[in-house]
Amino acid sequence: MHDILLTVIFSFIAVAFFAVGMHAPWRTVLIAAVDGTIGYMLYLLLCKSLAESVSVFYATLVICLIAEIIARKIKAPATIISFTAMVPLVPGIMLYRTMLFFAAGSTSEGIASTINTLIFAGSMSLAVTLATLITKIIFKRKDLKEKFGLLHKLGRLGKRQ
Amino acid sequence: MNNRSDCMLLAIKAAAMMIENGGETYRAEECCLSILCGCGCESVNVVAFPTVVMATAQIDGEMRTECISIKKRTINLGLIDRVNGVSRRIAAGELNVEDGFAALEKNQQKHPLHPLWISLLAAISAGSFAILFDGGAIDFLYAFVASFLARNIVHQIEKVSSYNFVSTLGGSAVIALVARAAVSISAGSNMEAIIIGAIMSMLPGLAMTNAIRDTINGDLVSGVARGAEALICAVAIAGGVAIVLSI
Repeated sequence: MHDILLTVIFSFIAVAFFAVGMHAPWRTVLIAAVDGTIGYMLYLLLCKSLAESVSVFYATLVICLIAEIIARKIKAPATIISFTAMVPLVPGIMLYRTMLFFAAGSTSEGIASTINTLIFAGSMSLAVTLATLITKIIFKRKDLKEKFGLLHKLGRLGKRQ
Repeated sequence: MNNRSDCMLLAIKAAAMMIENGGETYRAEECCLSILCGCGCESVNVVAFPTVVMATAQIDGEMRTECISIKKRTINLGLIDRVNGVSRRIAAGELNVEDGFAALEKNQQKHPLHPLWISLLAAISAGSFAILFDGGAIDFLYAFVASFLARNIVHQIEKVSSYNFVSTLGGSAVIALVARAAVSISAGSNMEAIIIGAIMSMLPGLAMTNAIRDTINGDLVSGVARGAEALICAVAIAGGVAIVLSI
C-alpha cells in the first residue's frame, strides 16, 4: 500500500515536471500528469498477469484515448498531452540493458534485448495508431464538417485561370 | 488584405516553426493551408517535410512559391500550441497578416529557449523517475544533478554544432559520468536508477510518436525520416552511456 502511494505520487511529479521541462502550456500540465499516472498504474497492474508488451499496449491505448478526448475539449494539439503522459512507459530501462549487453560483448543477448525493446516500442506505436483511429471515427462528423468547410473554400478558390 | 504577398511568408514561417518545435507534419501543412486560405489566396498547395516546407499559391493572379529549409529541430510544446492558435485566428479572420507576424515574433522572443528554471524543474522530473525505477532518496539527488548538468551541456553543444547526435551523445555521457561518480562517493546509490531516470527526458518519445502519426496520416516520407531520427537518437544515448561505463 505504501509502495503504491509512493508510485502514484512520484509518477505524477515526474510527468508534471517533464511536461514543464518540455515547455508544455500550463493548462495541459495537470491533465497530462493525471493521465500519465493513470496509464502508469494501469501498466503496473496489467504487468502482474500479462506480458509486458501487451500491458504497455493497453496502458498506452487508455492514455491516448483520454488525451485525444480532452485535447478536443480544450482545443490543444493531442500530441502535447499524450506524449508527456506516455513518458513513464517509454522503454528507457530496456534501452539501457540492451546497451549494457552490447558493451559487455554478449552480442546474442544484446540482439534478443534489442528485439524485445523494438516489440515494446512497436506495441506502444500500435496503441497510438489505434487510439488516433478510434477517436477519428468517433469525432468523424465534427471533423469532417470543419474539414469540409476548408475544402469547400479551397474548391471554390482553387480554380486556375 | 493589402499585403497579400506577406501572407505567404507568414504561412510558411508558421509551418516551419511548427515543425522545428516538434509538431506533426499534417498539422504544419494544415496550419499553412488555413493561413493562406484565410488571406484569400487561390490554388494553394503545401508540402512539409521534417527538413523543408514548401508552399505555392496564386496571389492576385500571380503564382508564387516559397520554401524554408529547417536545420534545427527541438521540442517546445507550448510554441506548437501558440502557433496553432495564431493560425486558427488568422483563418477565422480575427487577426490580419501584420498582427500574425507580430504574434509569432512575440512567441519566439517571449520564450528564451532554455531558461535555467526550466532546467531545474525538468531535473526534478529526472529525480522522480529515478525513484520510480527502484532508486532511493539519494538517487533522486544524483539524478537531479545529472539531468541538470546534461541538459545544460546539451544546450552548450547545440550552440556549437547543429547535429542532435553530438549533443545527445555528450549529454548521456555526462549522465553516465555523474552516475559513476555517485556510486564511488556514496556506496548505497543505485547506478541504474540514476542513469535511467536522467536519460528519460532525452529519449526520443516525441519523435517516435510523431513518426507513427505521420505515417498513419499518409506522410510517408516524414514518417520514415522521423523514425530514423528516433533510432539515431536512441543509438546516441546508448553510445554515450556505453562510452563512459565501459572504461
